[in-house]
Amino acid sequence: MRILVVEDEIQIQNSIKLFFKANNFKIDTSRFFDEALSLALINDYDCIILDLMLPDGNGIDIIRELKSKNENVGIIVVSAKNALDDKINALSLGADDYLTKPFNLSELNARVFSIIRRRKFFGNNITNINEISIDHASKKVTIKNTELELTKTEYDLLLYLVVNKNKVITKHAIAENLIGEEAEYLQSYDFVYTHMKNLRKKMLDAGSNDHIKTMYSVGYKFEIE
Amino acid sequence: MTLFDKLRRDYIIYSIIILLISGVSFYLIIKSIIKIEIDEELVYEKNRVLEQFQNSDNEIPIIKTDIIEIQNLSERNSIMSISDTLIFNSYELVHYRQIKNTFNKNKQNYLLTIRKISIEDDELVFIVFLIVMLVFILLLSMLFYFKQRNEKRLFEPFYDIMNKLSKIRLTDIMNIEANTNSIVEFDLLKKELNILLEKLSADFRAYKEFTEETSHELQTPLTILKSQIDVLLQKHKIDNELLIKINSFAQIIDQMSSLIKSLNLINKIDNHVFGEIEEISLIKVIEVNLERLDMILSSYNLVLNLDSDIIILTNPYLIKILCSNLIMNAINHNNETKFIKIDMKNNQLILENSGDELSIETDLLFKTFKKGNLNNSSSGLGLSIVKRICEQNNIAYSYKNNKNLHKIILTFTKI
Repeated sequence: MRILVVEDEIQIQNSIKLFFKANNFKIDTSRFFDEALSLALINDYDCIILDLMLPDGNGIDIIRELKSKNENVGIIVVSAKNALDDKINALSLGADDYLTKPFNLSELNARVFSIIRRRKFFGNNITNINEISIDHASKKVTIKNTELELTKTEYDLLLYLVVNKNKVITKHAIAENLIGEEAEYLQSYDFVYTHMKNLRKKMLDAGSNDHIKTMYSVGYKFEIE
Repeated sequence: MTLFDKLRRDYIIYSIIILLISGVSFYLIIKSIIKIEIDEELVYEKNRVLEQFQNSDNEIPIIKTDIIEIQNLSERNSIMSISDTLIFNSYELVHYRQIKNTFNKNKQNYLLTIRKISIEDDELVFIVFLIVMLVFILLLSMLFYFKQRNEKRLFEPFYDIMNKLSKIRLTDIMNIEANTNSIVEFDLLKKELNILLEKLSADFRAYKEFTEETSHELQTPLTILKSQIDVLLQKHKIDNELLIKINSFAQIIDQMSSLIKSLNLINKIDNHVFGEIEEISLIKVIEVNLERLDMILSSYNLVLNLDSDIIILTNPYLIKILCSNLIMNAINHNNETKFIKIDMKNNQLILENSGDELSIETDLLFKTFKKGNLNNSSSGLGLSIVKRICEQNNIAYSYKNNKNLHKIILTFTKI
């Protein structure tokens, strides 16, 4: 997979690179409008992570340019602007997703995976990871030929864990993935624990290994060799 | 009191003073004119009579009537005087002006008295009063006529300007266009208002841009911190103590970020950024929120009483925020009882939740940065956002509590 990160803050660029390294993604970065646009036109990226506010231009125009040239590339917009208009504008121009700054890298990771899955496999693919098999189209999870009866929340939770495998993900990041941005107004993430407990039990009951590791008071880690 | 009422009142007061002064002077002037006239006539007549007497050979008749009197005088002295006198004629006392003059004929001394009826004081006062009253009535009727005919027309530009001014919203400031009928004051008013409006509009835009940019600028360093913490958390050799420290940093960053977002939202609400309104079913908004928060609410004892819907005319985004904040509030400030009740009836939305007793006065609850309970980590902005949305949409809000049961009641106006 090849990803282009267009972001004028070097430190954010670096964090994204480091976090994504584990996915074996090839990552290009750019801080400038023109450079980013030519990179996007020359190379065949699976996904572009695009900051709207660039020192020499507006990221919105990159979306416009790419779409006018029929570039079929997934675009995820990250912006510090939490304006409804910007979001609607970006999405209507052909961006696939919109993430407001500050975001969790695990959330960005999940969104990038989701875009690639949708675009490359039109959603009709199956993720096999060790003994676990996830069918994205029918939203069914099978472990050693046993189909798990998961609630929607538990399914979403598992998907999030699998995408961010071997990474520590905070309860906050999980809550935000499940509820949306408003999760940050919640004062307790106890519900994450409840649903995680149920998911873990269902997986163990189906004969799965214990992949879900609790990181003391911080969050969870889905461990896969 | 309108400007015209005030002018009219002053005008009437001054008219009365002027009419009083002019009435008195009128009286005095008329009185002295009459006196001078009568006196002149008396002198003239006296001279004529005396001349006649001097020229005739007849004996001087001794007469005594009201208007002429001739008396014999024993001694010779010389009198010439004009004075007022009262004479009783058959039924009343009558005012006379009289001239007395002694004369001598054939060695006999006489006193000639000629009288003329003069005007009485009370009669004169009455006449003057009548004239003054007449003038006063004329003035009043002129004022009334003027009010009927001109006041509205004259003040039309003023009310036009005021009407246009009242319709101006901070988010959409336009110059006032009004026909001032070339009245200098209204031209000036319009000109100064437009200068003010232009300045206000520019200031408002700058202020809005500043707050928006500040909030973006603040989010960027937070994003850097947050992404680095995410990377840091992935280090393999990290002990629990450090992990917890790093996580507490992450929590603080999330708190700051949500604080900035809330303040930005409050700022936008205050600036009436959410202008577009539509008819919205409150039940639908509540249901969408409940569904979204179902993964949390499923562990709660949730009682719903959503029988009679409330249709409101408002901005869809704001009403979504309002409902979400209220439900989040009921979740965040709950206790082990985990009870939430949502009631909709008689145009009221009532949210009830179990929770610890408040540690602040209940009327401070909706104030910015006031937390109902001092030992939790809420920003204290949730209900302040609710308050603002309510105030902007004519929704009455109130809070009631009964020890461990808290109740927020919103009353909607019917559309």
